[in-house]
Amino acid sequence: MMRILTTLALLALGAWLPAQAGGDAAAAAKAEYDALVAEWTAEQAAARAAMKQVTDSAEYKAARDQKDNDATRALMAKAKRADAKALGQRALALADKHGAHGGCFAAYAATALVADKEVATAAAARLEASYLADPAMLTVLESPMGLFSALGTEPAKALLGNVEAKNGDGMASAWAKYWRAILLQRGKPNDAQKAEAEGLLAAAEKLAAGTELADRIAAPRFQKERLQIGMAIPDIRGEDMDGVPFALSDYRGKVVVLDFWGFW
Amino acid sequence: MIPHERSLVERLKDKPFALLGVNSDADKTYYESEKAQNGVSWRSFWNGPKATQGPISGKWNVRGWPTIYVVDHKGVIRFMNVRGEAMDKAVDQLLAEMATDAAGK
Repeated sequence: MMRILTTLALLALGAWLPAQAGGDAAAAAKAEYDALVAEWTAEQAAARAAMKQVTDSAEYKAARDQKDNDATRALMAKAKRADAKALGQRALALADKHGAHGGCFAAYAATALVADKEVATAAAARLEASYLADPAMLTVLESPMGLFSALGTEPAKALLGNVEAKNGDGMASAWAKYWRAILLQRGKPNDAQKAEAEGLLAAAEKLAAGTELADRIAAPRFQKERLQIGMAIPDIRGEDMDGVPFALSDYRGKVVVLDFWGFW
Repeated sequence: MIPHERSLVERLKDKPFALLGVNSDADKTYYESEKAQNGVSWRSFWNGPKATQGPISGKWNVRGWPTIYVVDHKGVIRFMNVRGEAMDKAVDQLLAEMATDAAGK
């Protein structure tokens, strides 16, 4: 999971920086971010190697075969992990130093990587203070669950409500509504909260028409109406792992097992 | 999981059968190294850099991994989330149906 979050943060960096480049200050900020990210990537690779060394060991395999979960956990705990909290704090420090859009990225990177309340709270305060109306808020809103889980549900809902109120970008507003609905539906929502969530989802789906977000909101309906036994399977058009486009319907005439999977 | 699918693909390599994945690894380099080590020969759509939050699984409302659909030669969903032996049985049944269909024509 941590690797997925890291990748997300790196992608956010890649997506954000070219648009902001220009001027010596931006170039200096980019160089520092790049160095931080490179360091982090190396640390992650080392942590992954350490983890693999554990899982490949005879001791670990024996414990696993005996289904001794305490022993496997203890062995796993010995593997050196990347220090995500330190990264989060350094990202926030960079944001303070560079100001402007830097804060948005750094807050995001920090919170996506760090399941740490202190860092998340600081990042959220910065977003609240400077970025509620900023289009760059979209980067944060596309994958904010790292931030929200560290921050806590109520502060997260408050932040999202403020984005809805202040941000003029249709997609930012759609994402904010979507996440607020998801947070409302968690736990034990009363009837009013359920109705509010439904309303937010409908509004978000409309704002996001034609995008992945609209598909995601429509997904439970899609599953109920199109993905039941006895129904013709909907087509998928996409690219394979080598980037070659293909379609599920290319395999019509064969028996097909369609498997949503990953190594992680 | 993966060893089982690998053996299914191997066993049915001369049959009108395909195992297709929707892969949700964010990191393609990692995918490539694991693919080699695990002998993964089947083709997958890539669910994109957002991993399990990607566009295909998002649209299909996939909440659990793996999620499995077994589809007959006419493109009809016939089984869902069959694993291990149940997956083998489902596929063998659909291949037999397909052979019967072809013989009847």
